[in-house]
Amino acid sequence: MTDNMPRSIQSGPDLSAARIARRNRSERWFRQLGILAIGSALLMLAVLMTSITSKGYSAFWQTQIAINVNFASSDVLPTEKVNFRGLARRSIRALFPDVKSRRDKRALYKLFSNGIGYELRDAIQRDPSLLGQSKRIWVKASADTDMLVKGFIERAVKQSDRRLSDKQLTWFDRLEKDGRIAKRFNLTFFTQADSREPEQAGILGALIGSILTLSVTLLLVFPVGVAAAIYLEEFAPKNRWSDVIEVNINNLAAVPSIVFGLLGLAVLLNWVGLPRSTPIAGGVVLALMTLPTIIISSRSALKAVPPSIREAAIGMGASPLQTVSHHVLPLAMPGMMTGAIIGMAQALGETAPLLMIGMVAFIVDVPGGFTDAATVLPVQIFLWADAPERAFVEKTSAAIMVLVAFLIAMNLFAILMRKKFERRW
Amino acid sequence: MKNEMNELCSVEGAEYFEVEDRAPLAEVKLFARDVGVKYGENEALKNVSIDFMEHQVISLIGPSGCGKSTFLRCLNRMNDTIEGCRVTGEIRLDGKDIYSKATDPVEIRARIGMVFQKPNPFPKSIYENICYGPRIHGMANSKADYDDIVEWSLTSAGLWDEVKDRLNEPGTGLSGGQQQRLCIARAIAVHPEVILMDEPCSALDPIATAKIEELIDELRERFTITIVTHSMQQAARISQSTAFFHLGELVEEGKTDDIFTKPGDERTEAYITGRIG
Ligand SMILES: Nc1ncnc2c1ncn2[C@@H]1O[C@H](COP(=O)(O)OP(=O)(O)OP(=O)(O)O)[C@@H](O)[C@H]1O
Ligand SMILES: [Mg+2]
Repeated sequence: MTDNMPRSIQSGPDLSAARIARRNRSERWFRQLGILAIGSALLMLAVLMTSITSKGYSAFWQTQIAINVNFASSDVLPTEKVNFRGLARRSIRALFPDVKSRRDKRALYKLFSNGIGYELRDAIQRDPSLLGQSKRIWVKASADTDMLVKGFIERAVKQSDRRLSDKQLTWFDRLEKDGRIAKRFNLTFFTQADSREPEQAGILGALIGSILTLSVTLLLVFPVGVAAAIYLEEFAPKNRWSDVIEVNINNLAAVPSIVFGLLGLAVLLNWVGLPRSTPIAGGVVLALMTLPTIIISSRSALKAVPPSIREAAIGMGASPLQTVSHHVLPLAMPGMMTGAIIGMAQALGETAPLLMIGMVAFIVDVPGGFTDAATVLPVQIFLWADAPERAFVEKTSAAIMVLVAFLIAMNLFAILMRKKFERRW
Repeated sequence: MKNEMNELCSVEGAEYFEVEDRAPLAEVKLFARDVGVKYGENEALKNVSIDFMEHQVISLIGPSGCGKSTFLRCLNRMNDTIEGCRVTGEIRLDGKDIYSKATDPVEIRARIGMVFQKPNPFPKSIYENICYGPRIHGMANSKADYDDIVEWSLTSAGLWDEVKDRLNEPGTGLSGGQQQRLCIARAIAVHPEVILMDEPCSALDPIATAKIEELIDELRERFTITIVTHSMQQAARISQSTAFFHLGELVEEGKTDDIFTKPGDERTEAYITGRIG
């Protein structure tokens, strides 16, 4: 036996110190490389997040100005008929009796949001007991005033180069001295849709639009994607056709997203006749876009289920469908959900295909349903990033923060669901 | 060696005839003619013809890789699930061709149970492992029925005492041998007509093996049993017929007694005396 044993076997493993040192060195080296990679990724993420947060956090605060409003009953009833804007202007003028010329008055109004008439109306509708009283009310400042308070308007700059004139600055200083200026939490940002006026623009419309759109996408893509994956993986015969389908699905996953937008425009809007700019149209387009991703990830989740489980079930006399639904699917579910969440995250951040079906429109109402015109978070970010006003800069970053928070919430939900479904053995 | 074998078999033989008395009208339960299997281009089995009599245990023996498992898997159409596997020839269960278009393979597998070579419990509780078959075949109506099924099956497989206090723990958490017995319990819980066992005792200690052999002997009254084994002694102890496979061929098949005392083929003799294999 030992006679014909090759010499290389007889000499046994090479356990020399040099060899071991070399092995340990490459091990260490690889580990450090890994730590370096993770470290740099985390660093970049941190830089990104700090830059966005530092630019965006100020958008969560808004400058407000206190004015005295006389809600004399003849003035404010019935609320539909009343000129609240006039009431607001009268109240503003009352603060500055010395401002006489029309030009100056107009400049004075510019310190305030041009929507304060609505604010007064809302105030009296909320609290009818104000009727007949004279009351100090906090109203929104204009975006320019807000920028001044937040330090984005330099007083040292030449008057013609800044958005507020010297006169406006003195009025502002007077208001501030009287304690009529305050920075308050910007509720508007979370309760309103888009607006031309930065101080009146909010993220809620886009957020609801995103939620509605993603619901359509998820409802369409998850059942269809999972069913397709199950069919392809568990039932379809493996032949040339299934290879062709597989290659096509992989190709589809790599198609640029704007192509799906063009498809949506041509087919969904022009042919099927879905309404433009709506969550339903956007949801279908995004569903088409994420379908390949979902199918591919669901298939790999199914592939990861050991074949012996299938054999055991089939051997017990379970039908193929019973085998899949009782044994394979529960085991593959966590993996499928991870895939679905990745697909949804991809859909959440998608802009290009939605531009093609008109979701880039400027929409001032919070959408109330799947067929209302809507926009979505990334498109809102795109719109605000494109807006010329300085005040939209912070809003853009704040919208990004909302988008990221939404993403994190989605991922947390996915992790929770996965924990719930995951088998402990 | 040979003498020892003779002794073993003569004892077995006596029992065998007793059985004949018990079941005088033994009928052909499973009938295989000219069965051949190809995995792609590789011919794993050719021209196998065996009759499986009712209420008998038949052992399939032969060296590793000779096609025993392959043949076993033909009998309940498990080979359908393997890509590129083609089965030729004819197999009949109670006279009905199991490979005909009209036959439902799911029904065949419900009637012909199987214990696999590698234990494969479901990743569910021990209780659920046993109940799964009865549940999908609509065999029980109440929790009490299921409890009875679980207790009987596990007791028969010699596992009850070990697991009765942890029926809700995962079946995959058992030891290899326990898992194998769980799989046996799972298979008999649906009361199949034929049970195919692929080396059910390969992972078991002598005591558990003895229990399983006892079980097989009892089950013979109700079921027809086919067992693949690498232990000649086991084949001699528990089976009435033995089939010897070699390189994808059925070399010979007959009463266990005859195979071990006067093998008709020299390859059989060489194998049972330990010269090949
Ligand atoms: N799924 C498969 N695909 C391709 N070839 C296979 C497959 N299963 C078995 N074979 C081949 O068929 C032949 C018989 O295998 P089989 O598993 O039936 O042997 P066996 O007699 O059960 O062996 P053992 O005693 O080791 O279990 C072997 O040559 C094997 O390589
Ligand atoms: Mg085998």
